[in-house]
Amino acid sequence: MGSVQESKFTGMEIGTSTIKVAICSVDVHYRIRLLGWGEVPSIKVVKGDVKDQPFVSEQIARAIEKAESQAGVRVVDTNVYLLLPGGYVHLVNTSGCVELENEQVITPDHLVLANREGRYQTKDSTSMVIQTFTKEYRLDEDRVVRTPVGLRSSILEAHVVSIVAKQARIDSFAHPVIENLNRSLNDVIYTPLSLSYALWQEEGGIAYDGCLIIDIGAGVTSYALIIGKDLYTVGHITVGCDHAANDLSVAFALPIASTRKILRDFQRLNCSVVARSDERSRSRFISADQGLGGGSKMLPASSVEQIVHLRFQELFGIINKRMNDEEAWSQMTGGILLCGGGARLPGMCELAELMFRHPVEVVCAVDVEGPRDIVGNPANVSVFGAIRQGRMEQDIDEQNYPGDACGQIKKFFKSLLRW
Amino acid sequence: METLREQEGSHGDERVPVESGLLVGIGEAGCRAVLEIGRECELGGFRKMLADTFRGLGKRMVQRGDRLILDQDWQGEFQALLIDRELVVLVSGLGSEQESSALRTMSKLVLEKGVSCLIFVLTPFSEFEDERVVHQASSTIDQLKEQANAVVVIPSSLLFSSFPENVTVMEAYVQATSWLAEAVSSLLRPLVSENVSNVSLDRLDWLLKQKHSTCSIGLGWGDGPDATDVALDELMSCPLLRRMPGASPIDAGLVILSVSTETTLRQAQQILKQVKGAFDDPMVISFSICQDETLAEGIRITALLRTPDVPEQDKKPAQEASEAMVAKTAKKRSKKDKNAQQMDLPFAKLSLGIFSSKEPTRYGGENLDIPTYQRFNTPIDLETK
Repeated sequence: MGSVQESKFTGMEIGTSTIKVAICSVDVHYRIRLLGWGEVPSIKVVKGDVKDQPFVSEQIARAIEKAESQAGVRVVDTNVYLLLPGGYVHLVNTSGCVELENEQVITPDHLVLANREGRYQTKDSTSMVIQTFTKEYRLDEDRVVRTPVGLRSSILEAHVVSIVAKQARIDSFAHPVIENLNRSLNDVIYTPLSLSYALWQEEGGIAYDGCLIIDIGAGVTSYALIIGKDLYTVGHITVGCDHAANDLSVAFALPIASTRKILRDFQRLNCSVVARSDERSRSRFISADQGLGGGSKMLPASSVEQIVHLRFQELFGIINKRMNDEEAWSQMTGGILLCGGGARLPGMCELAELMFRHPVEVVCAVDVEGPRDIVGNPANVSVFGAIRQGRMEQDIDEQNYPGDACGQIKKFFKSLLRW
Repeated sequence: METLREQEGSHGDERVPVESGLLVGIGEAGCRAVLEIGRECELGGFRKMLADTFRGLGKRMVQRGDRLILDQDWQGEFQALLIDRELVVLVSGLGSEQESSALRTMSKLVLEKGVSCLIFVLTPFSEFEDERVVHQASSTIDQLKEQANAVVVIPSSLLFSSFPENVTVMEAYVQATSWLAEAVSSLLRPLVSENVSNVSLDRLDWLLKQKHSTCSIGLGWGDGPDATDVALDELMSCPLLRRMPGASPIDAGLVILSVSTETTLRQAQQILKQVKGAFDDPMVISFSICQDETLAEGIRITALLRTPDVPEQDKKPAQEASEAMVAKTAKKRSKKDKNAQQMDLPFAKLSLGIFSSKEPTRYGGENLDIPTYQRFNTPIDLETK
């Protein structure tokens, strides 16, 4: 192994609900140990976009301070990776082709060439490609494969997905963090990509091969279909739990803070995301008082459930349609994995099962050591994913990636991306 | 091109395009739309006529285009205009009986002549126009379906929800007319394009040959590196493609992709694949592509989608179900006025709550920031204590 044995990494998420800062150490086997954790409400973030930079900057400073005091390590001295929720990110599908004389055996070099050919070239300096991944390879006679190394073909076509964003929007989003650190970030990471890394483990690779992971956040829902160590499709929708809270707020003319609290208390209120029609037979009503000065209202539980049900049913319907459009269902060999704050809502798994007709479970990041309430919380999956992805990127930069064929490919490809 | 046949003219070597199409604007909205089309693009191959029924406006229009005065002899004059035409496009609002009457008569004359007839109509705003006018418009559309190859309806009411809150009545009319003009020109431009195009009257006829159907038109435009995605997003969010509750499913459609003259064959193939992927499988869609020199890097997508009318025998159960729902709603309404108001008014103001000042999240023509139950028109028991 190279010089990096156990490095310090910081993962940061400016979420719609909370700002999270995790300072961790990551060993050569990509096992994460949480050293310090800071979490504060973000308040001035809507649908993953910062609306009040000075305020959010102050909140970030508070979260950093909390994490640093626990870890005894300064964030600025670590490798810092910031999650990009994706409200202003779009995906571009392109392909690159390499012709092979006399049906040559395909080598990692051929993959690098095909990927380089296929990589999306931004037409102006205002946009940038943040990350890319290879969806699949096509060989002769329309053979579709994921790992073509060692096969023979006269043509190799790489289908590359590039994650593209406007440079100014990224700068603007990252500005409050950079302001606090007084230095640049190591990288920004598109949230759906981080999800697969959160499930990565040294032994056995990805813990959930062939699964679709859905991260239901407060403002943005991200998803990724994981195939082996790669991805088949990723995406995001700027709809999350805040939309359900807003629907309740509009319906019952309540302050948004009250309806957010109703969602947080869903379990205690014995409510479910899967609406149960009761014709008002349930005697239980939900008090919307919440001590927020909005007066007290008793809401019919069935109506609250119905409104929330419709919102998440629509959200899952959109993901379902996108998966259909990408012809991704045929690639799935596993089930549906839910994470994010929304995954904790009672009935969410049941609704996902009804919508997707696949087994559903709630997951948290794997191979992470730390307080159970943090590392075992499905809301924190992406932060730990960003940290592991950061470590892998650094290893690739320093050529420490484990020497399997796929790793070699990634090493070459990563170096190309850095040009 | 069939619609732009060129012939040796009487002026020596000069080649004169044959105007095999006739574009007629009827009434105020129709005339304004045709004038706007004339300002935006040449639309060669179409002779433009203004049949204005609005006295004051006519004096201003006569300077800019051919005018058809709807006096006692106008029908003979109109029949003369139909000679050697392959396609007649009638554009009109349905705000007055005079417009509706002229439109019905014209479409009948076109039908008798055996010329293909395409009608674009702008319906009245049901939100603030007289109920009688709205009803009359609906009845006129039904009659026109018998006479024309296709009636493309631009429903003003669907545009209503896309207007900003502070829009004035005049601005609403102007915007609706602009949509009408854009819809007409987007469909006709590829037909008369001198550039490479596989859009022809045959393809249009394929879509329009079935009577008793209504067509809706959606428009999307995008430029930059992800032009296709942007254009598709815009198309999906086009208010004209919003479905009315209870509408029949779309059974056929024509999607025209207009691309720049710089677009390579491979790029065109990719764009076509991407756009095809955005449409549902069961729909029978014909995809056409044409090059438009007015587009630099951009892509324009025009989708003409056909919805068949529900046959009478199928209408009854639907009507019974509808009546049962109305009865149920009325019962609830007697209990609580507030809830009933929400269920009865499909065009009631939709609320955005905390997202009112934010960039909307759009998907498939819907603004996802609007509560789902409101967009789905789901009756919810909202009574609180």
